[in-house]
Amino acid sequence: MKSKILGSVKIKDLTRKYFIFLVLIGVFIAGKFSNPLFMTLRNQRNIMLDFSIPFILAIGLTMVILIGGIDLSIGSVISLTGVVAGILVPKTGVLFTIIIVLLMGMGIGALNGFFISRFKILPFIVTLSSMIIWEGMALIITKSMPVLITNPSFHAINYGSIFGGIPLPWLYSFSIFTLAFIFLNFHATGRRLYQIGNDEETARIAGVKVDKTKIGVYMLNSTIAAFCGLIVTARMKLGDPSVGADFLFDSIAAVCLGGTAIGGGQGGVVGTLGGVLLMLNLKNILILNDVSIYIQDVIRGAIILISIIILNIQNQNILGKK
Amino acid sequence: MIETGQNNYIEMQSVVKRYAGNAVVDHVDFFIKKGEIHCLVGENGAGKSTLIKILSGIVQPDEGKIFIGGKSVSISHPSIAHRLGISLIPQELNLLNKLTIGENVFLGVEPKNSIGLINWEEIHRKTENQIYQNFEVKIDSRAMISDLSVSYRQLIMIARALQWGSKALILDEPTARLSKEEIKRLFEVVRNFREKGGTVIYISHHLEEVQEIGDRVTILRDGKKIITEKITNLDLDKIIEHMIGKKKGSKVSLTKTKEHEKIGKKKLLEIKGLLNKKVKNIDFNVSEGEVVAIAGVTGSGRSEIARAICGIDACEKGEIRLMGKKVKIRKPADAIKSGIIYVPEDRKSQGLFLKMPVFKNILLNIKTLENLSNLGFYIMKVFKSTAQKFVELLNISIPSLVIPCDSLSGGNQQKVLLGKWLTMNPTVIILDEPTRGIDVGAKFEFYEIINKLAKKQNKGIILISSELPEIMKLADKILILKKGRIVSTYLKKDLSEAELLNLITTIEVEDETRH
Amino acid sequence: MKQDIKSIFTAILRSYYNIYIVLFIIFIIGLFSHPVFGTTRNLINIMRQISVLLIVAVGQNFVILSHGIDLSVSSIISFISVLVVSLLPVVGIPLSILIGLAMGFVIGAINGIIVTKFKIIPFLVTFCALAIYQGLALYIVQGKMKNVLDPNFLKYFSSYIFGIPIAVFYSLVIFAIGTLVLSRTTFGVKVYAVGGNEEASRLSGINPHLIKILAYAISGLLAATAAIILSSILRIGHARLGIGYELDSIAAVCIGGTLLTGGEGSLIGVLGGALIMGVLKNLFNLHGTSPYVQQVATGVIILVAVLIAKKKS
Repeated sequence: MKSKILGSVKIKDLTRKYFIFLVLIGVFIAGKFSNPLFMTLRNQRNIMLDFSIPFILAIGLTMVILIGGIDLSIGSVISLTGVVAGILVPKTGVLFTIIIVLLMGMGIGALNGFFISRFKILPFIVTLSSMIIWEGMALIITKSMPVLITNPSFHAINYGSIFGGIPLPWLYSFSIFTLAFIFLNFHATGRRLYQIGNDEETARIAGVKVDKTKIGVYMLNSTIAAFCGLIVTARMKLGDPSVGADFLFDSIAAVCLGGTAIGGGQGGVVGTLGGVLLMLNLKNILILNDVSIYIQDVIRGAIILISIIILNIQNQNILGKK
Repeated sequence: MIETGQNNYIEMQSVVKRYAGNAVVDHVDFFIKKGEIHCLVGENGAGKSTLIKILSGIVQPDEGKIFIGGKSVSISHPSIAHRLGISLIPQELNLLNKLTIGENVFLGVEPKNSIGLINWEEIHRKTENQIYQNFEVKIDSRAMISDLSVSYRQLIMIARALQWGSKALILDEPTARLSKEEIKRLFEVVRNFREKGGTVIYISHHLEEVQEIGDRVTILRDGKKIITEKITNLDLDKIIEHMIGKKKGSKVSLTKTKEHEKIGKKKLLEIKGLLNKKVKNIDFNVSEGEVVAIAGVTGSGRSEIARAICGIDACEKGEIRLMGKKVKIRKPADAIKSGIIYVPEDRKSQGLFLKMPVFKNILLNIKTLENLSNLGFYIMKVFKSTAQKFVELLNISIPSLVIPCDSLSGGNQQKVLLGKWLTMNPTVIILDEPTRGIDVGAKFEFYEIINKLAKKQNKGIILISSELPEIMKLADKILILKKGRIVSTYLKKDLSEAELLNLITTIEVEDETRH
Repeated sequence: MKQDIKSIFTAILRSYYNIYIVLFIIFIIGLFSHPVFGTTRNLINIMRQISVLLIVAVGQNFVILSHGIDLSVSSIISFISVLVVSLLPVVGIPLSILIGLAMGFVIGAINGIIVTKFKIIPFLVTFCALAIYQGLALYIVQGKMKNVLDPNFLKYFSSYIFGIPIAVFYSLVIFAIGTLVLSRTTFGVKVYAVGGNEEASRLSGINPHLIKILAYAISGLLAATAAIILSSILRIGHARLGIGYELDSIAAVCIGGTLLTGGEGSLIGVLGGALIMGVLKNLFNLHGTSPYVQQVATGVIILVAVLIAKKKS
């Protein structure tokens, strides 16, 4: 019996789960051939300097998608964060601003979660409306003009470093990734996300508090997005109300490519790590090869679509067998 | 006959559940003792599934009380049944397919430390031990559910119930998709559970199984409890008699017939060697004016035959001839265009468009739409008058043609569904549970309609039904289906209802070796 | 026949009267709140805006009725706009229009094929398409605007008849054709069937994949039509021309009572939705409200419309 269940199934499982890393290797090879500058330490370090923000953002989104939902409002949370920080930092100092911003993120997430789980409206619609509303708010407050922040302590959120040279954002990435990994794989509540994503009703029967968990996840995600907003704002040294829009697309792409399929129940932050690396390296290759920024968008969109198609076909094969 | 009080672990007292005015469960007393395997038996529509849905919290009773271990309880949600120690193992297994065996077994009861971190090593070790001890099967707890076969998944569901600390298991038709070996293993598991003090409610159509595994049996008929008795005090004939309400009749030797050629009557439909994943080597004919019934228990593959013939499910092999000419049926449109139509079992999810008006529903199949339209355009007057004709023909009583279908009664909905197909003048009509969930008056109207379609309009009818009286009333020929194969064919006039029930519920030894 | 039309009209109006009452109220508020609102010039402006939105919303309605959604309409508008305007001096009016419309149809069909054959959810597919065609549009004109210099082009699509912008007539014709298709053709019946109960439609012999693909193709075609008219009105081919139309068309359809799950809803409602969106936007503009407040309002409106629809069902 044991051999019937064990066997070579494990290898197939792994290749499906971490397909993204195979694609990543392919992209690295393609990059190396296309341009000698690509594989240099300097270039890769530059890429990694851009890594933290999309990565942390995508980690939050991973959890929402795992539970079977989606959150289109994360870009708007970033925009709003920048604006709020721009206003508060000169008035109330850095620490207070951070607290307020994180609370704001929690509040937006709570609203999202409430409409989704209590009123049972599709997450897509709720977070679409949320996205429109909060971005609008950001634009209204600043009359669409960016707000400069000159406080160096605030800038340090992005530019600070520890242990002589390691940028703080890398520290954030590492800590948040580690926490998320432990949470999703070893913590009971983290496992609930997978369980609810697989079959909400069965989870309910087993006594899982589905509604509360959903609201919690959306709150966590928006708080993480707010935190990202702080890093972004510190990096640009200003609060820009229109900055958030780009982040959404790349985040969704990174999560889906990493194997966390929309619909939930499978995937994780390791895959998301691969997805973010893929998106960044892809962007870099296109830039190095002087591809028009417009075509970059086209290629990114096309690759994401094709990868999702391939992932879907793989999934169908697995299901089809049974 | 009513035992209350002592020794009863689960007591359902005078439970009533009504749907659209009909009592589907009619003042049923259902008493289960601790540590027994109690079988629940009855024909389709007798109320078995509704009764256990009430016990497992999926459905709320209209009247009646439930007592568990002497305490009065209100089971308003499956999670409460779970807390009370009752676990339902439904026909559609509800495991978390993309997660590991261990995680499924320990769902909700994971061993964790003070900050909530799970001890996976403990989970997997305990799962493997538990499954080995209880089922004598070695598994790798880290394997995914989606890698397991149906019978293993069923075991995991039971393992999960055990891990949850369930004291009572409700098994709903557990052997429908199992092989002989797997059934034997299941029985051992069930008996072991009883040894350890567990209680089992076992629902099955397979009466021989019931005799083998059960301690006591409760028989339901038409929503009422007929009898609760020790298995050893009842023989098969008695059980069937209680299920149907009539005596078996004199012992006449059954004449098994081969395909009976109706001389002079044209063969409308000839099926040869139909084969796919669900049905094997289906051969039969339907002649002009003939009603062929396909009889079998749940899961025997009756609907699957219809779906294979009509192109809804893919077919690997097989030949279909309509009026002598071979037809290729790859998708539903092909069958419809040839004149073979299928009236599905579940009118709400497969047949009707509930939010659309009646007249559109009645005309919604591609052939009728084609017939009534010109270059894709249709005239509302023509649509409505055609719909009106069929509404009158089928005696559908509705205030107007434009009301949406979800406001109709079950009987009227079923008539609309049938009407939908009659509007294209089919040659062969396959009816799947045509009178399920409709009131007695409408039922008889349907029997008249079906009879007319066959005898007056010379159409060929294939009738799939779990209601044996219905089959006995309408059929000319009866095919007995078991596990996707036609095992025998009888003429209606050679069978009694009791014999029919006997045939479909007993396991023939020949089955496994045929073909 | 006349009796027929009259009875349909009254039946539909009876179920959609709420929308038109809201519209009436907003209109009255507008008249009182701003002196310019009721002027002929302003009303013509509103009509023009609504016309373009209506054309896109008709297409979006087909897609949503079939249980899908099309986020890519804004990029299709942008893409076809720059495409057509670039082609005008090269191949002349009839050919550039033909190519533009054909491209819109094909792009929509491709969306539909990916959704049905590869079984990817419509949101993801059209989200990616949104990015892809936006990028292509920007690439064609390298981010710059292109002026329309052909006077005939301007005449055909942005002139006036009896003082009313020609766009209004185009949109009414499209609206009429759309209504006719949805309520008097077998194709229309099939669209409602596929959106209402895909499995039942399949068992009825309908090919749900084909119907869905056609719905997306129609949406693309109508987005292309809107692009041509809009480019003519504004006299430019612009790579960001369509921005906002995806949300506005979804809002118009939702307000109009078409359920996001498909199978239910009529164009009369969508017309009402487009009218409401158009009048509101105009009022906001007259009052000098920033486009961002308008954006917030749109978000709230969609949410409220969906909530109301949910309460009804």
